Amino acid sequence: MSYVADTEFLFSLRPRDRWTKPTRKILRKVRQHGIQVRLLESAVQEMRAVLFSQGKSHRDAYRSLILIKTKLTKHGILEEPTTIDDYILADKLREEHAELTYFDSLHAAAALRLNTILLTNDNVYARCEVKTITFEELAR
Amino acid sequence: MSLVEVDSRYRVTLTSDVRKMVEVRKGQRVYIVPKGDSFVVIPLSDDVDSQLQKLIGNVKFNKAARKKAETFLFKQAR
Repeated sequence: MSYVADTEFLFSLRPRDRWTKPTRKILRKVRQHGIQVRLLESAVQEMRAVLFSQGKSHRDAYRSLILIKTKLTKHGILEEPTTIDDYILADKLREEHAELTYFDSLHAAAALRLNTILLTNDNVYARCEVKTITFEELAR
Repeated sequence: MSLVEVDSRYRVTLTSDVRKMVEVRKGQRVYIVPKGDSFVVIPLSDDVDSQLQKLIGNVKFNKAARKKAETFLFKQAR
């Protein structure tokens, strides 16, 4: 089974994040049971925007990303690039679903294009036909 | 600055001159990223978790934080 992960997954790699526990179980499952989780490029974009909007420096951002990349590589988490098709679909989704944020729509678009399941704890995707699974559900 | 040779297994030595400028220990892991026709080598902390917590442990990630990030991004794009 294959999944794509949104931004919450990146933040949950912090040792004291509220989703750290299920994320650790998911990482174990990836290594031991061969489930495939890919990190969306749009998640990295959103993480950077979140860091900068809260006053983090470029140095903080790149050092954090190196640490995150180290963790992802160690656990065999691959990256999923954002394509032009994703941007087209994302804008179409936003036209139809005003409740989606800029990044919600990009995460959703990639999941729809890949016909895969979005790993997220956000229930905003329910109305745009994106298949989702929560951290707790995948960790089980 | 120092001039070193790439050995038969593509290894290079970090000379004492370089080590005086950038602290690095034997066995320490480094992150290497290509940059045009050169490389950037960044020493990694041994404790990834505590370093990550120190760097971004206080960053909020919730609906309000996401909205703020989106506004920030659009402002940058203008």
